[in-house]
Amino acid sequence: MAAPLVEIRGLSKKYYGHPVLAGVSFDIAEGEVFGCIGPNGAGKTTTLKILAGLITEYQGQVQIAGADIARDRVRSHHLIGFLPQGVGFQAWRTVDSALDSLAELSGVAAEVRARRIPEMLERFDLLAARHKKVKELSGGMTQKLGLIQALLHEPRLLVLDEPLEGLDPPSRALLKDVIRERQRAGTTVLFSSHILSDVEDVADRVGILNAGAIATSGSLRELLVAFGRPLEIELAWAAAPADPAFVHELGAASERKPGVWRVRLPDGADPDAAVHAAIERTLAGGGRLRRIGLVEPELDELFASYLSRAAPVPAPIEDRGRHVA
Amino acid sequence: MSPSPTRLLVRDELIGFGARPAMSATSFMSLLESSIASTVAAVMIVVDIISERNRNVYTLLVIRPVRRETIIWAKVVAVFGCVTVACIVSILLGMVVDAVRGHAPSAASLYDTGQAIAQMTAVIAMATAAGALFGVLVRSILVAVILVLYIGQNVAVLPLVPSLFGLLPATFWWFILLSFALVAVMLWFAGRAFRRAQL
Repeated sequence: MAAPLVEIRGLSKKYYGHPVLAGVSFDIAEGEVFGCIGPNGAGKTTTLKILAGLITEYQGQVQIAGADIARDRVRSHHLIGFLPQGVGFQAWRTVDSALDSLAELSGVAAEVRARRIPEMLERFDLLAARHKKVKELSGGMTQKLGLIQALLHEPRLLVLDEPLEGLDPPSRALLKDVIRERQRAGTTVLFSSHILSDVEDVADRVGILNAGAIATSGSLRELLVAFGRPLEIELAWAAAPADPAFVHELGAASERKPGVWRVRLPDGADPDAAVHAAIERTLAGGGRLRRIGLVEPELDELFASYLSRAAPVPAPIEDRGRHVA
Repeated sequence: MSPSPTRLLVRDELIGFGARPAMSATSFMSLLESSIASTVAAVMIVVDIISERNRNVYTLLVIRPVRRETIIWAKVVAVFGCVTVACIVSILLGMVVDAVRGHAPSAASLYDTGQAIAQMTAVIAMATAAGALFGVLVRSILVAVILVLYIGQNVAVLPLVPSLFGLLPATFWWFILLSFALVAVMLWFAGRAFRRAQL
């Protein structure tokens, strides 16, 4: 695992004596996409605002690339691109002027701005609106403008608070593409969302924030284990092997459709070893596989199960291996 | 058909006002500006700061590598500059009107006008700084405007207090010096408050 770009330790924050964050701790590796989910009032926005340097009174330690954001604010601001919830621009500005001014404040050279701003506007389908006043834009267009300003200086860490809010489906798909592109370019992304399917689409790891603390974090598979949900693999045969009953040796198997089996693995079983064994046994038995893989749970399902649990919160996961499908 | 009495009265009043020898156009414009400009500047800046803050405009500035206080100071300079320039232009127009009417400015009247402009500038600066301070401290536009009108406007009296109590001579230069010292203090507090603001 790469060295963490973001290290948050024991983050606590009170508003008028009421605790909003109570000892939030987590790391985000360089190049990782971390999705933060949680019910309303869980402290997602407060955490992101502290990271972005908007809230400066808190307990705990927050470091970005080794720089403590409380002590080295200027350096950490160079590293961050931030999209706040309900982004706002000076109403008198045009789209072009707003982006140019903000990029200049971030230290982007004039020739780079002249090239990059039209590129980004075109990417987000806003080029035709570049000379419009910001106040004339719709909510979705303003949100896209907010995303562009966060990306213009190519930050190492992109912090997005509800970035998909107010976007239509094509724009949401575009944003997810952009996040994946930025990840390939080495950018670390931390975002919050309540649209769980979108989090699931782009996040390498998911953190569930509840009652002011990270209840648990990890890949989907790790969350599955943490919540005591069974691991399952599904295999579909194009041609069944001579002895299809071997699937029962892997775990509790049930045939969902002819030739399509789902196997619930026993506790502690290695899912990769089970997939490997199923492939070997199928081929050895003269069968042909159409598909095989681990059944990933829907994040909505996991989240709902988490919220409805009366049992104590699972311990945070220390091993942060990436999930495989 | 005879003209209406209202029209006649308005015409006579206009002629009478214009022909009044006691007040030159320059004096009239100075009087007008000094009473209105500081209020306009203070209300403009307080409304601007609070509405931009409530619309999360400052969020996008604060997350960039800039000193927080410069965001407020830049706004003060802009508002103060625009209002002051507008006032000076108005006063110069008054002088032009006087010159056209045959009252060319004398050296003494130019000196007096210069002093009036300097005092007006100091009052506008104090009102703008007070507006910035209230804008940073208060989140409600209504409350801030009330504070600016009833407290902020009286800030202009403070530089006169030492003279009134006989602590300092009542001279033009002391007024200017104390006014801008007060402006510096208010801007420092406004900057400090904005630096500590939890956005």
